[in-house]
Amino acid sequence: MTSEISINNYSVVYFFNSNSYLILDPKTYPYYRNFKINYTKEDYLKALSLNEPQDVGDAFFEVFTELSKISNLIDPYQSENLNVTTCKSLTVTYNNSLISVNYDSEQTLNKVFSKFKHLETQENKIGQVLNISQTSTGYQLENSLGKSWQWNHNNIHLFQGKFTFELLNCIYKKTADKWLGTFHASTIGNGQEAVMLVGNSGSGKSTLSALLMYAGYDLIADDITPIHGQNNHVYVLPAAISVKEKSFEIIKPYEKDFEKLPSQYVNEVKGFQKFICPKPFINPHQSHYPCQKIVLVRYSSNPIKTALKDGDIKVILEELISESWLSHDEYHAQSFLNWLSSISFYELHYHHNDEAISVFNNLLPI
Amino acid sequence: MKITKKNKISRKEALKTMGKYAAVTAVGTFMILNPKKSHAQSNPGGTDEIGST
Repeated sequence: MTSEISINNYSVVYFFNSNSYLILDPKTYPYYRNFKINYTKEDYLKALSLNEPQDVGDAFFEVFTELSKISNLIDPYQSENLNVTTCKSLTVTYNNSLISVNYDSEQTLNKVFSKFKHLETQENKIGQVLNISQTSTGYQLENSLGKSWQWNHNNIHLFQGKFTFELLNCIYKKTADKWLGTFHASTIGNGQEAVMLVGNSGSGKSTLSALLMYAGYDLIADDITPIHGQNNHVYVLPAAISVKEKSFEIIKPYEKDFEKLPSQYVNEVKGFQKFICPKPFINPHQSHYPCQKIVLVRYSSNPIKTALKDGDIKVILEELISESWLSHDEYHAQSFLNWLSSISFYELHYHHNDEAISVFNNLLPI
Repeated sequence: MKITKKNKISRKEALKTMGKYAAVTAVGTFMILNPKKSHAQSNPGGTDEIGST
């Protein structure tokens, strides 16, 4: 079962069985167009009727056949019957939701909660519950529905990502199957619409997002951007921005008492990080926004002329799809393709932050 | 045609076809993108040494 759309010169084909997205250009698309799932190789080669060497046809047939097979897409870290033991508790509030986070130690809590600390409340009513704990081999998480997961220490980023997602579900009182995806992206807004910033780790998107926030934009999400399956809107993820040590001097002039903010050691490469709380929103009661623009952020450590140009679809989709969680649901996949076909893709190359902010002022007027 | 690590078919069975895969990418753009199975925060490098000052 497949769905497809066209973006500029490219075709994007979704294979439901393997939850795979295939990007084709006009040269490779005919090979897909002539493929049918019930074809034998002989049927396919006959349908191709191209003057191509047979081994090329063979290769396409085998790859398409592979993509059409059912894959195991279950989260490998989900575990049954975990007994997540906790002894301490705190309460979080946002969007009129109350969430109890039960934990076994400050050490476990600090792994996932530093960026949500500003949401802590002294209210102690029982709301939805998330339990987290640490074992000798790794981390465990359990939600209110009794679902549980465990990761080893090397996969701490998955523990952090799942905690964030489960907290998001609690905040908006939704279940996991309602989301179209959670994207590896930061998102800013002007109170009416949103722009998503993508780029690999170290591309400067978090630092730029922080600077855009100081320039008056809403910081809708940093690092993980959720999109809901019903309206394709990005939802506010009220997490603090993680600013890495190399950006401390850039952020310091904008953030009051920056020096006093606690810092956490990440690793040798990243050094320390500090968390910057999101500023009040332009429309404080609005929790979701349409997003029709994606900008691939490319910071250059060498001075270059700032340039915003049309984005390379291949590069952006590679970043957007491969680094994100996308729902394995036919309806959501079709919604995602429809959403993609409505997006304007850009690429921003910059060195000077003030020039990058000016570019956003044109792209997304406040 | 740019060949990146993402061009690789990540699934075990598909790896067997890598020879074939080189043939299809030689024709033009042919990228297979697989979303992640798990939610993830940016991976700082896989280490787990968070302290504080």
